Amino acid sequence: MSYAATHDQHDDHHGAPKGFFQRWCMSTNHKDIGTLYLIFALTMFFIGGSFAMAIRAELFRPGMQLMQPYFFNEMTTLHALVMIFGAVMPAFVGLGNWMIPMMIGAPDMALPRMNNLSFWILPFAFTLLLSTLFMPGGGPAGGWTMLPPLSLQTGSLAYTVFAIHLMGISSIMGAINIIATILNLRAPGMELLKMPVFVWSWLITAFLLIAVMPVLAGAVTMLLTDKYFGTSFFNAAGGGDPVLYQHIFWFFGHPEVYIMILPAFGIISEVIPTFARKPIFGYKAMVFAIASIAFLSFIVWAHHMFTVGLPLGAEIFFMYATMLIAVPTGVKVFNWVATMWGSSMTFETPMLFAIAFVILFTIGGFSGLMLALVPADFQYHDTYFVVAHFHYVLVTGAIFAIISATYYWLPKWTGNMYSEFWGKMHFWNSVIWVNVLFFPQHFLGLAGMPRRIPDYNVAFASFNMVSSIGGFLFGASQLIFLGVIIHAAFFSKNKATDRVWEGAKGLEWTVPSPAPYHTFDVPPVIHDDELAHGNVHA
Amino acid sequence: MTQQKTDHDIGNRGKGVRLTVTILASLAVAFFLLSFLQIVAMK
Repeated sequence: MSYAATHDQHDDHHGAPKGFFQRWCMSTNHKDIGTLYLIFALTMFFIGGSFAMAIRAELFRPGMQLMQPYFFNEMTTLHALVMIFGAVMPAFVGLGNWMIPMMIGAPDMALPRMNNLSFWILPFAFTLLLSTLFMPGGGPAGGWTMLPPLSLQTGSLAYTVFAIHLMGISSIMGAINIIATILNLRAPGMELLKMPVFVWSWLITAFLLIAVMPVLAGAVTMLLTDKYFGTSFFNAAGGGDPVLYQHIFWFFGHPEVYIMILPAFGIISEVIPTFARKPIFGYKAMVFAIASIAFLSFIVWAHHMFTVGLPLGAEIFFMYATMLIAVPTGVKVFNWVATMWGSSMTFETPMLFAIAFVILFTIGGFSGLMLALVPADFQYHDTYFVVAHFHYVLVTGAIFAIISATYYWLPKWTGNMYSEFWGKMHFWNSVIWVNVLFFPQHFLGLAGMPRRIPDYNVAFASFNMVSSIGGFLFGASQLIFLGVIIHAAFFSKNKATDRVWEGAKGLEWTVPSPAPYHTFDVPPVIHDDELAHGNVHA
Repeated sequence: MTQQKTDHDIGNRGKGVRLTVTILASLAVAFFLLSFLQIVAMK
């Protein structure tokens, strides 16, 4: 039985396994697997970030100075693939692995061995993907969306597709594990509508993953068969249509971007109430808003395809559906602000990143609303306006939420307080330079600079230079984050209390810091007033 | 404070996990096949 499976044959109730291989390669512990995911995600963040530095270095001045165009295209393609599938998604899975069992009073995930497999697939998949850079013909260079027929011309397509299949399998298994855990392993008394918002956000995100990762697998399988097995799914000469790929890809792709932001919403809904010392405003509305956003995300995919020649009726439908998503999102933003309104706020580093999220994600949302308007999108599509939009929602959105969560929960994981001075240094450098990096890109897009180009018209030179300077400094400031984490994990003498933060509520704060290897082996008694949302009545 | 868990509880949880996994894995396969069926729908 899966629950009994957490009780190994060996006596591990006294702590972690002794051998390095046994502990880290054969782990069945949600905390260790969470740590593995987070270290992997941080590593991939720096690798993907180095690709971004290469991109911004080449775009610093007009003309080709540093690299061949094909290499630049490999950089843009792999920057996206690494950041999306290697940094953001694994970071959220790592946070989920660490925190969900503790938040619901469960001893571990429902399927601990599958949890381990889900993680260890990823280093293999990314080694494969990054190794394509060194293969004859080079790595994927047609953009992370892999649109045919361009993507079919890449020599290493088979390796890229295999790597993506592996990442998809990892995500699907992880999502099954999360749903099985949340639905079956909650401590008695932990009702669904008493769970932390972060747990709700992951429950809903997991359903999205199960629905759409298989669709990506289907799309890239069809690319594979078109290239190697003589099919014509996307080849007009054989009776197919390249636009068909776009439909299938974006049917995955749009829910995918919500997969990358819903757990972030959950994190912000944990951090803000703690540092405002006030329960989240409108808990049920927050949960229903996440569910609404997830549902609506399935019916907006063609807003990525407004310029391919869709029928007018389709364009109008997708325009209105896309605008509709702004409503539950707006509910969430208003509720975060209402939570802070009239509260006793303090501004520790997690709270700083959370507040920056609320403001800057909203800016990203506004540019998204502009892109939703079909006639406007005919000008913005495939320009830097789109690049600015998605970097605001992903960098100042998802990444800032991940950083906020790391600062928030690091004392629980390590037992040590991080340096608040260096945390604030990281924050202020990040928030200033990220805006220097991405805000000018709105204007570049409006002025007509296309995406995915290694060289550009001299008219775009000055804003590109500003953006690149912002990029280099934003990248450098992430090294502060690395230093803070290493110091907190290994060198900090400042011990954390169990509760860590004065306003923190929830089961995870009732266990010691650092959290013991095994927690809630026996289910806790749930006291409603100890929970953040324990007093919500039906 | 803790609550006792019985073999009955453990058994029920195991059954619940198995059912959840079966349903979700079937959903994943269904969506994979759906992506190919889209071709028929788009024609």
